Amino acid sequence: MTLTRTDVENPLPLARAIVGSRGRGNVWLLLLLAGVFMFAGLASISLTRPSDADLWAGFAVWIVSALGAALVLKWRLPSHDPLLLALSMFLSGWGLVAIERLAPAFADRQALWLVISVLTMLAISVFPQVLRWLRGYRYSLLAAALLLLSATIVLGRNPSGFEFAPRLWLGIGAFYFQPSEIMKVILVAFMASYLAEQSAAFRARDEHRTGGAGLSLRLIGPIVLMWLLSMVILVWQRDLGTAMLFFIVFLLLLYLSSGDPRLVFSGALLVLAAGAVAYQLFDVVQLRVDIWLNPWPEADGRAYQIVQSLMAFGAGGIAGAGVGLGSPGYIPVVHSDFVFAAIAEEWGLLGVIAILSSFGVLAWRGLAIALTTQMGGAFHRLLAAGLTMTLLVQALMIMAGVLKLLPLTGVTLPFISYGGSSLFACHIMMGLLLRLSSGAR
Amino acid sequence: MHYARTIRHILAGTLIGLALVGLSATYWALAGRDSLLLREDNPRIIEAQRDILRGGIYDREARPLAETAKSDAGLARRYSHPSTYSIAGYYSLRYGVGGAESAFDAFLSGARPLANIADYFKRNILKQPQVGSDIMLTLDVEIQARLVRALDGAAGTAIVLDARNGAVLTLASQPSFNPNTLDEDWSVLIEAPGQPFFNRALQGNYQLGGNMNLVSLAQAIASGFDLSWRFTDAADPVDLGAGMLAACVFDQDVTELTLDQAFAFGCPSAFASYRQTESAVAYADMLAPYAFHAPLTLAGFPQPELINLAADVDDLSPAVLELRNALGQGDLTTTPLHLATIIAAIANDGIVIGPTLLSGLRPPASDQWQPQPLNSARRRLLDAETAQSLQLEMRDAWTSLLAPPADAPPIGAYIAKSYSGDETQLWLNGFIETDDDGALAFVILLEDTDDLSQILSIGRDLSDIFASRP
Repeated sequence: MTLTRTDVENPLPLARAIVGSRGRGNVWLLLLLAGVFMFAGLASISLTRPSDADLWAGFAVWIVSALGAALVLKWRLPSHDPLLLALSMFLSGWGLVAIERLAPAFADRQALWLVISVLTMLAISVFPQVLRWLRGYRYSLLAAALLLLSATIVLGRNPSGFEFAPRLWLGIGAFYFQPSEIMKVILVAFMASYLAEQSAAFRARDEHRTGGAGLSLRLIGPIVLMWLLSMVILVWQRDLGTAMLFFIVFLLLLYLSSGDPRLVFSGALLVLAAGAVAYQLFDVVQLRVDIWLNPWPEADGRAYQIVQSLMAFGAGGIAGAGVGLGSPGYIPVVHSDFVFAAIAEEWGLLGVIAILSSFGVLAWRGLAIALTTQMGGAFHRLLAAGLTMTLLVQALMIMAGVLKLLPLTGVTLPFISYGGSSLFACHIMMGLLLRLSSGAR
Repeated sequence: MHYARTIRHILAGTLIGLALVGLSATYWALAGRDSLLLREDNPRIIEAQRDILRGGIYDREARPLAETAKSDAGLARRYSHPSTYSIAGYYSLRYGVGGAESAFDAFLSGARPLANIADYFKRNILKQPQVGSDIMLTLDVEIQARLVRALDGAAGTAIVLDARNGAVLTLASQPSFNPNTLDEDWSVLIEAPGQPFFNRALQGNYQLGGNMNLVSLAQAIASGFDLSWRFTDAADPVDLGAGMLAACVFDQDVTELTLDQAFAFGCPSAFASYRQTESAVAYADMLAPYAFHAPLTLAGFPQPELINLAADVDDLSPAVLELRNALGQGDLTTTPLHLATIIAAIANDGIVIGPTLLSGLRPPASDQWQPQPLNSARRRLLDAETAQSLQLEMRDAWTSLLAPPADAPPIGAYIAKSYSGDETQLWLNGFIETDDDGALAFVILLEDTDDLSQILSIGRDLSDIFASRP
């Protein structure tokens, strides 16, 4: 199916072609296919762990979550985009299977986070006030998020317990939460809200483009300040992946608002310059760049993780080693940052293509919402685009990282990687997109 | 309105990014796959090897030399006969494979091409462990054990070939190693002065020394030289320059010796004199069929190690160099296995046959051995008459040396000395006839000794050693 300009600008006919004229009926079919896919994966794992009855608990949780979400959305948000729910449940389900395979001790916790995340997604998608709050209380929300983020400097912990691991989590007992994940949502909402308010200025600039007027400090100043503040905290915490993600999404939103491609190029130069400085200042950056450029001499040392990741792609081949039959355990922290490599080894290139296709469809549906949403004006459009790009840029960063296309950035693969905070934030974004999609219809 | 345009740009950029990830994944999964998976530091290789149900190695009577056994700790490789360790080799997840384990690894590990869809399904879909075939070697573990016992721990080698078909019945090298404890012993073994991983039968390159007398005698017979001609001062030592003195292996009180007597007692002087009766061209023609420059070896095993002989001879005159060449202390070397094929050729009426070690294969889940073809490389080294004359000369030599009892099995053999570097080697080479009109050729080499007592002791025990000869 070829995507044309008309399809992007008016995606409903294309969506109907995929989802069907009775899209609601087909979302059940998509969920059923996702369920069958999960069942096959878990059945394969059960062959290698025949005495482990617990591995089906996550599947039961997923079924209840998926059916419950579909029913609630049908009841309270009938005009939502059904593909979004199917995609998020498909990817989350795949993540549950992957974690059951790679780190079974964490599978129950991930399933619990899935329940919390889906409930939050439904709450956000069903209650229209959420969008108003995000816009109306943007400064308060950002301040609260920054406060939480700052708190990790003093109170931060790392669930691994390693002394020198980044302390990005706040923890109460066995419960851990990563504020930077929520920060993603709030920062995108803040930027969308602020840029929407400046849309008149951007429009005026558009109309007088021949005059050569640049972006005024009044337009972008507060955003840059906020961004700088976030950067300082994140760099301080050595969470460079999230810092990079914020910056790229910020640039894309600015480009979306202004239509000025020079911003993207300037931003790319800024990234390179910041990268060069960070390379000199931070060991972690130096390490990641060095092993990105040439991992082979240190394949048994500092580059072990990336080399093992590439070997996983080689071992997987086209059809994969089979679920439960590969050796992705050689990759350290495979269930989190490197889950994409594990999928490549056990599901093969076919699995990789399925993941890429899913994110491709997510990009298409999310940007279609950004283009066609009827209510809420520029804020809703920018928010939809920002949320979509946050998910996509994050996915691209980690997928390209584990393939040595980019330096490793240590972010999670949305919906799939192990991590409650990440799953929670992804579903919040999905809830907002579902809400916005109902406006698009 | 720029909004639709920028959305399209962002969507296109995202899709391009996803496509690049897909292309990169495709590259590593297909084109770059081998370069990754064949890396030595790929733990998946070791993991795959650990699960392989490796085939067993058996001798000609199907007596196990190496087998894989299941235990609580997983699969373990067990080697049964210490005398065959050096030829059976080793199999280690940490240090790889050596010896027959390496030469026949493709059979033993089952790394054969996929035969059909069912094979593919079992291997790639059901992930059934790779199962290797059993291999049967031509070795006779009883003869090998007796010969190794006769070596009594001395550094050296013992080889026995079936002269009619090149089958290797014995191939022992000492010092050796214990493959059952290889991982624990490795660091000691690789530093050991005796080089236990160096298979002297296959890799050792030695000066021919007194073995050259056999070649010269063959040429004398073939050319019709009068073997009753007596050489004067034949028991005197020969000065080979640089402090090297070649003397009789067995001291003689006489001053005159015929060429065959000199051969029997290992006296070089007569052969030095004989050499002077031949031209350089005749000498080169004489050596060519023996192909010492291209020694016969066993496929899949380590090749002979070249040694540089030029450094020691810079100060020697052309006459001395010629003398050295005539007495096997020149620029020619041989491996014990190659020399064994020459002895076998003499016993086989002049036909030299390439050596063979593999005699049978037993595929997984089969109880039938499939015979493997013998080495088809064969050519005439000597005419039959010359070979038969040499057999007689070797029998006479053996009789004059040891005076074996009348009921002893017919043996033809000689003892020779050679000097390689600072070491002296003793050789006991010959053949023993079998009950079915065949013959077994043997080469026994002791390194770094000129004490004849041990090699003579082995010679006296040859009848017992070959008591169970096939």
